[in-house]
Amino acid sequence: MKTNLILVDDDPIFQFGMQHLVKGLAMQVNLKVFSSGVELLEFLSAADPDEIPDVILLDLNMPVMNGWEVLDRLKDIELGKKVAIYVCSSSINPSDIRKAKEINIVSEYIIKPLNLEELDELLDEAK
Amino acid sequence: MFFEDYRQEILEGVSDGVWLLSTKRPFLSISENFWLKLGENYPNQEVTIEDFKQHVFEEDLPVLNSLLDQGVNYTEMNSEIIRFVHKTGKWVWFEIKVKQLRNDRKNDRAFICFDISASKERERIYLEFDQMNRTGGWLVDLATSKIFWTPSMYLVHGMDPQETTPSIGDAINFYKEGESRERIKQLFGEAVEKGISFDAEFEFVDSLGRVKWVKSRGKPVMKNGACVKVYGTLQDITEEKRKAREVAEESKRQFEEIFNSTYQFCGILDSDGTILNVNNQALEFGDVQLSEVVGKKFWEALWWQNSKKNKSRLKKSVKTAVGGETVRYNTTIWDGNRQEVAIDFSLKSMSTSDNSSPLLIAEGRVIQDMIDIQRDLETLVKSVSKHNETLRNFAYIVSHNLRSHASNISLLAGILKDSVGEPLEQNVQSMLEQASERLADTIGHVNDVVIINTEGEASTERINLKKVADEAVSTVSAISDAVEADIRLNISPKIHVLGTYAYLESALLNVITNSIKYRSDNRDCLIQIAAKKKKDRVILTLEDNGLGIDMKKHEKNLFGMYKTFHGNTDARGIGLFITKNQVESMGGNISAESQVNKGTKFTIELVSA
Repeated sequence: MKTNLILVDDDPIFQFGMQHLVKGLAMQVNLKVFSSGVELLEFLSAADPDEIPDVILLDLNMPVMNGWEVLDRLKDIELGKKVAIYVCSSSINPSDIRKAKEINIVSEYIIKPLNLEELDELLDEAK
Repeated sequence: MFFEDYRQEILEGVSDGVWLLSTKRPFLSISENFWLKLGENYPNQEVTIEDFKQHVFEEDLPVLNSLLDQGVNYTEMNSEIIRFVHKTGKWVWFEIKVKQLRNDRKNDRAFICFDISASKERERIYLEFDQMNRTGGWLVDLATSKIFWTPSMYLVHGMDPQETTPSIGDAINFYKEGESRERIKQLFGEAVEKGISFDAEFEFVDSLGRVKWVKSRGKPVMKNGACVKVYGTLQDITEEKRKAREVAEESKRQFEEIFNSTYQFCGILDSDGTILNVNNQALEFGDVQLSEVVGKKFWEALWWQNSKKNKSRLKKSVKTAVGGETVRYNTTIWDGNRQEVAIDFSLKSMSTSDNSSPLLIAEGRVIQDMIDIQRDLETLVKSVSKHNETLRNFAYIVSHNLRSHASNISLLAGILKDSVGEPLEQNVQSMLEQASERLADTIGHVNDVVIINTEGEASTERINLKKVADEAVSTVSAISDAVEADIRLNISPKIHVLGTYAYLESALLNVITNSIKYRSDNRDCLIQIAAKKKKDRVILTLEDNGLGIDMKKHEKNLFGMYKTFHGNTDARGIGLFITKNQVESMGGNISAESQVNKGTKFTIELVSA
């Protein structure tokens, strides 16, 4: 059984980094990358049940619709199963961290960059 | 002769003493009770006239002498008053009645004595009271036109009690000529004709020419509806008047002292707002003389001429204060140089002793210093909060933007490290270059903002707004021509602002290029630039008909760093942040109004020069 992982981040470098990391994982991971929250929401609304992600890594600072707004929308979407949502940002601003932890559907706040061990652990926990 | 036997005892019983004088002999026969009155023992024998005189108070000796004078013939009961000296030294007053004895010895006399010391003592005390009160009593008998005065009456008039009592006309002439004399004539006339009592104070000149104040009371005695007598008192109240005047003068002096030495401006107004008095502080402040303002309406005086609104508010306040309510507000008034000065002003009513319409107390305290300090403080707070916001932006940049590039570099470095010896993924190197370039860019932006905030104010100059706008428009002409944007400039060449030329040009360029970049595909791009003066500010507006921004969502972040709103890949979110910093460094302000798909209007407020 492959783990469905979705990355929402407008930064091409981080997108590249994540694709690179996933290749090094022992487990079978199916990675989908979206550059904006709008794309994610469009995908989820039309996704087959087996496409629903197990884990979402969500960046905060994105144009047009930022991570907070995406979280706000996700609250109201019935996904049919438990999805682990990780806020994944380079911001070490305490107010961002506090704010993320106050949102129920957020499992954890992860500070970039992310290495292989951390990603592995994170996916393991989500199972 | 039964009666003869008891004659002496009877006489002693009805009197306080009897003397008998026989014509032929220089002896007096004195009854026992008389001696007792003097505290002496009864000598049981006749005394010589000379010895007897030893007991008489020397001032009254002439009276005694005349009584004993054999040459005087008493046909009726005559009486005299003689003071005898008691053994203890005090006087004993006797009224002595003389009786010519009807016997063959024609000149024998009996003297029947009555002790009147008690009533004389009372009289003396009354006199003392009168003198203590400096009060005399008088009575005018209208039938005879006779005047009776008590001894104190003479003292009030500066006369000797032995002098003849003056006539009514002379008595009235003691009242000072003019008001006082006319008034006593009128009051006395009313007492006589209408039976009205009087009680009034007058100026008075006594026989020694001393000017006095007197209180004169009079009461008519009526008989069958007509006045027959008038009696009354006359009191010398000069001393009381003098003391009252001294007290009044002293309290007036104290009032003037306080009135003129207080640091406040102080004035007294009539209930219709007429100035009655103004203290020195207020006069000096307005560089006016008391005579210039007294009698004027308060709001017509110089202080209040700085604005019509000020005058009408004051007029209203006078009415409110007359109604008993205290009015207090901060306002500005003119000083002598017609400079506006802020004061804390108050107006309250003051009750008057005669209960007529109230007077008003106006007070003012200069609070210009306080206001200046407050204004400085507000400016400081504004500037501090602006700096604080900049700092918060910096914190965000450091914690987020700088870190994001740094974390990317570290991510890529990790990939490089892991893939040592393996064929390198072709784009890692270019990504690394890109990440480090962005890091450098961001550091550059931070540096720009630091420079704007630290050096902006130092290089201010007077700038012609039209000139700088013309230049900005011509700079963007390459791109604006390419998209056929219509830029309309409507700025008077007279408008000048205070600022930094480069910042102003950069701000204009940024807003104009934004308008071109975010134009609508559905209509021709139109940008209108206008400016107008408003007091000491210049309001510059730049309005487009482009895509617009959802202000509900983005108002808070519009001028934030690295905020983008349209999803354009080339938007970096730095322009408006820099523009805001530049405008604020020139003491200005930038704000925006926008409607999605209608357009955006930026308003830039600058300092007029």
